[in-house]
Amino acid sequence: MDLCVFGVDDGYAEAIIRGLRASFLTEAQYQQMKNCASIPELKSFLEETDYQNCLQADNPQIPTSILRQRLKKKLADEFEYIEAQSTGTLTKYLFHLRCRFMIDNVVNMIEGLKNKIDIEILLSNIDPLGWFPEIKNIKVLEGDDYSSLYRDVLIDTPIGVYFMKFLEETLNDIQNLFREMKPEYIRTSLKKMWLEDFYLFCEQELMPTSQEALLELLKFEADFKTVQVIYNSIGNRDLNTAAKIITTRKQLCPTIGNLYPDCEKLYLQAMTLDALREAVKGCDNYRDLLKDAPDPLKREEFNVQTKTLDDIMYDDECRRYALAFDGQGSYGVFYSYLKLKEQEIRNIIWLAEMISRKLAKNHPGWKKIIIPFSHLGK
Amino acid sequence: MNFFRSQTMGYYKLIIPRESAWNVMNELAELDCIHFVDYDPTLPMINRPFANYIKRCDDLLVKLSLIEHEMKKYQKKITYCKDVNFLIKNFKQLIKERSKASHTYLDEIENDIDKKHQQLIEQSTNMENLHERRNKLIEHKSVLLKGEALLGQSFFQPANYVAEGYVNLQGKELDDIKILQGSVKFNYLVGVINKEDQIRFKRIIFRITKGNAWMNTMDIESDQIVDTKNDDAKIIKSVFVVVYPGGGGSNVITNKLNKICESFQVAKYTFPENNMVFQEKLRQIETELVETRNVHILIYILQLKPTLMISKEFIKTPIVHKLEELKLFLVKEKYLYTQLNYLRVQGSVLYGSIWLPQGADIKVDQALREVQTNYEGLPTGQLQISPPEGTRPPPTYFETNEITWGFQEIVNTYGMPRYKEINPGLFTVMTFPFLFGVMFADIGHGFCLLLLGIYLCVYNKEIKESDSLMKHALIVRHMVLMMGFWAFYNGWIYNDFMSVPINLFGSCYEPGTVDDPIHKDEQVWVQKDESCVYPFGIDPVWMCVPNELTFMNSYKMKLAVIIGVIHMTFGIILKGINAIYFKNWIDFIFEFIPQIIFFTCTFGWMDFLIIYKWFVNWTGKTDQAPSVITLMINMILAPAKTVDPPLWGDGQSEASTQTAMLLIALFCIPIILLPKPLILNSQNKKHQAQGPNGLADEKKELYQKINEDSEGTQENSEIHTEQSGGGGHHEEFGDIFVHQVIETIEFVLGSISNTASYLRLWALSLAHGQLAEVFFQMCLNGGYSYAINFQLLIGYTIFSMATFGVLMMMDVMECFLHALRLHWVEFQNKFFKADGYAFEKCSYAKVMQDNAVPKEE
Repeated sequence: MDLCVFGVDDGYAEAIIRGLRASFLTEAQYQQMKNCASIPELKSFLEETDYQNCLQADNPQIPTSILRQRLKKKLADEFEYIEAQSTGTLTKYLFHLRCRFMIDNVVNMIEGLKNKIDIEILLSNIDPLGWFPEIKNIKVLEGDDYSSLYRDVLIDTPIGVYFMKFLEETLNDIQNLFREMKPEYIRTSLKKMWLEDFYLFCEQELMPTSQEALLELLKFEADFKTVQVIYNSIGNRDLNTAAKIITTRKQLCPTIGNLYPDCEKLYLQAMTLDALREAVKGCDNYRDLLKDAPDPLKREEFNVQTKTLDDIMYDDECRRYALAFDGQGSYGVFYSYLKLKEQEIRNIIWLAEMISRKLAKNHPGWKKIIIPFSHLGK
Repeated sequence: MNFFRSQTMGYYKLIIPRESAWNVMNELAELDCIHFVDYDPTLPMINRPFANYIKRCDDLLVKLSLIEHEMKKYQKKITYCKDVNFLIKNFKQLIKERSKASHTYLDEIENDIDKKHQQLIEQSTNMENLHERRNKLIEHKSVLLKGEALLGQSFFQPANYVAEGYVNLQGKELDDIKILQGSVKFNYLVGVINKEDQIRFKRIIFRITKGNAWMNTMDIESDQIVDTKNDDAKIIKSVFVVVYPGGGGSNVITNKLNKICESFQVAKYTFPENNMVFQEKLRQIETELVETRNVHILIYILQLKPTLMISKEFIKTPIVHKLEELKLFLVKEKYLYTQLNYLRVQGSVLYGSIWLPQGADIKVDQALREVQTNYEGLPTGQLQISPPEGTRPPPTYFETNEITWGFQEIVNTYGMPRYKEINPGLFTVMTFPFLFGVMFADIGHGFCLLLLGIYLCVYNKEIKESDSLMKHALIVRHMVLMMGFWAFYNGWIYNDFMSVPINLFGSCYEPGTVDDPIHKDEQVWVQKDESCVYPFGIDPVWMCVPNELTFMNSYKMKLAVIIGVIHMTFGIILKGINAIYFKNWIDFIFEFIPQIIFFTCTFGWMDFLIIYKWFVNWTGKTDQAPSVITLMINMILAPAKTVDPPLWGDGQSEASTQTAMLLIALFCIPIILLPKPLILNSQNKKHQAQGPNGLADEKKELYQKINEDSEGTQENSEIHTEQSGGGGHHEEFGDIFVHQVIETIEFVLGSISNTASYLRLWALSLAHGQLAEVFFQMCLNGGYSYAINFQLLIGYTIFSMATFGVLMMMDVMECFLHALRLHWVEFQNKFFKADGYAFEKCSYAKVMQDNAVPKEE
């Protein structure tokens, strides 16, 4: 039923997104980018693609950070346009999508302020997708006083809710009060809350077709997060006791997804990679994914060539998003678009880094890009 | 015959020494007759030898547009180029007068523009800084004035606070606070904030002070602060005053507030504590303001204005602004290098492949020789005839003029004619306006359109120079003229003037009476004279009889079908002519001949019946007249049966003729279907038998070559092989056969549905007539009896608006689209292959013209 009326409100926005599908770089174009010998060459190549307008005003020897900022700005502009064209649930939905970037921005700001980085630099580095006016005011943060930061500034913002929950959870725990909180920890827990909240939103407010597509994606994303948390906590020196590991894991693992709650007990206690593989074996193709993952206990030996867990997961994620993008009449297409474009930007930046370091063409790093939609042809 | 078939093309090799590449190319581009073939379309432009020149031109164009922007900001007028050819001549002159190598002119310009750009940027930043300072002063002034208004005069009265302490300010009015002032020390925060941040600022202040502060704001007059960086956009700012209790500077709240202010990028100001200082400060700002304004004007006159006076400095051509001239020169230069990029560079020589229309090679040769005479000491290029390379056929090129251009565009929109194929554009020139006219047939409306066409043609020049909206219609003026003429003409045929027939020649009928007592009261029309025939078009008397619509419909329908069958037969004949021209005898014998026979035996026969029926005088025996539709249906359903009622004779001869027709038509279908694929297949087999290994070897070689190639070019060559592989003609028999089956079905079924499609000629004309009648009846008819009165006035207004809006705009559009469809689908599918590609002549005039028009903003 919802397919019949999907176009009434959301048809235009969807059509725009479908049109933007043409802006993705093709495999041949990636090949050409790999052949670029210097950053100016890469830039002039990008000027012949859809990224033309956002780079024109810049100096040819563009630093990678500015390049990233420009590419992201373009994505943000497109997204803003679609957001402006949307109505009703779609607007709420798109806003929810942006919250993830807001969390990133807030945590980055906090981290930067703690490291005494100039506010101007911090502001110029924020992701335009997650911009909101109050972001400037995070400056009032003093030391670790997150609760007053929340009370003074964040309470009014879209992500205030998550921050409040986070404070409630952590501050109730006496142990945490005395520990200096790592921004990375804040980020992971905020994102977990966001993911759960977003999942709930999709479940409650969206039409069945959108739900079907999105819940599937979100479940995978939640599982991805869970596996990441477990994987990264294996052999982590900060968490020395088993009980501490488990409580931390419990706090950071999302309570949604295919793994929760069936495998929860197993994965919470997994102290080696093999145990983790064992824990997730019941689900989907996770076991296959983890098969190639390097052992986290040998973290020191990792280098550029290692295909890390993240790379493997991103690859699988990319396949799912590309599939979801081709789904009709669902909001999944917006989500996929955002994710795939992010991947594309990551690719370009990665290649730009490779080029600026003048690495040899047979270096394995050149192969470490995941091309959106390349999975569909095969 | 240039317009009937595309021009004969010749394939040539062009060899240009690198050092004279610019000069040769410049000379050639002025000829407007060369189509450069890209030697490797898969190679991206940035990897080509002249890419950096193009890049430079692009950069300079960007700089120029910045200068232009700046000029517009300061209201400098820019005259745009109207005559591009004049400018090209000028450029040529300019280059000739220079002593240095001609392509270095770009370097010179580059320097000039860079310098200008640098200067301009410097000066405009100066201006901006000045503006900034002025904005700051205005802000400060406003803070003083508004602050005074917000705080009230009493603020300046000496405060004799006694103690510092906590006071609850929540919900208090300013006056209350003033009373409290006696007992507590207050801190004041005064500044300017962007209006859009104001509410958030208020909220955060509230939260930080826990509500224990008093805040008020006041907007600064909107037109005072101008953002020069952002195209002089107006920013609305407001002055705010925050009053909060608290002691010395080390206060926590003060600290936090300061941080907040910083994060909002608020400009804080200290508010003078007593009236004297206040007045002093105000005066000081006033004088500073005057000073800045003076400096502002000075800088403008002394620096910026001379910089912007580009025209005076360089002026050479009086008709164009120098800026525009530079822009067009760069466009030209960029185009030149783009074309040069199509040539392959080998050592110090450029090799290019070009297509030339017949006869143009002499012009090119001459141009090449001219290079030698014009630039002494420079080697010139060479033109060599060569066999075409690659699988691509020659491009299609028609020389069009103002009249044929529009019609050719109609054809090209559907598809570019194949090289040397018959150009439907030629016939479209006549048939298109005619078919339009059949649908839009109306003396009055047609005349309006005709008038418009005449107006556009006669006042062509005047309109072109004016700013009138009609300018855009000029390009199709001949089309409008002809469409108007045919609508007008067909209006006379149908005798229809906005739904009223005109009795111009005097009707052949007059009112009479009947003897029959039953129908006594009915109006009867009696023919004046046996031999009387209305000389042109339909007798107006038909307007007055009750079966008018039935008659007109039948008449128009038949006319539509006759026109349609003729049009389509013509299309099939063109197919035959094409087959003869390309010496494609299989197509001629097994497609064209059976098709034309099939078509004449079925729908040609129908046309014959219609016309035959018109020639028979049915007076007095109307009930015996056979219906053409029934005849046609019976021809298929009961072919051998005697026709009853017959059209002629006793029906026997008619029956035998139609049976014969049907049999011939049916016999034609297998002829279209079978022989062609069989013959093609046997031909293919023969080819393969001749060289079964040749092809495989060729492929092997190619693959080997690819493997030998380095990694980088692998992709390119792969794409290349795919392309050349696709060009092969060795299809499977199944494919050929299926293709032919589809063709046959399309033709047989198409001939029926297409004929029916031509009924739109009738349908649209009917719709037009009915619409016109409705408007006429509803709006004007009531007015007859009242002579001139108010009702007529209103009626006429509505009538004229409806006529203009519905009939002259919407119906013209509709008839246009239907005529377009009849040409694209019904006519052109009979013969038109439309798989050619356009000849793109290398022409300065064209690119410059495209860039000469200022962009609408």
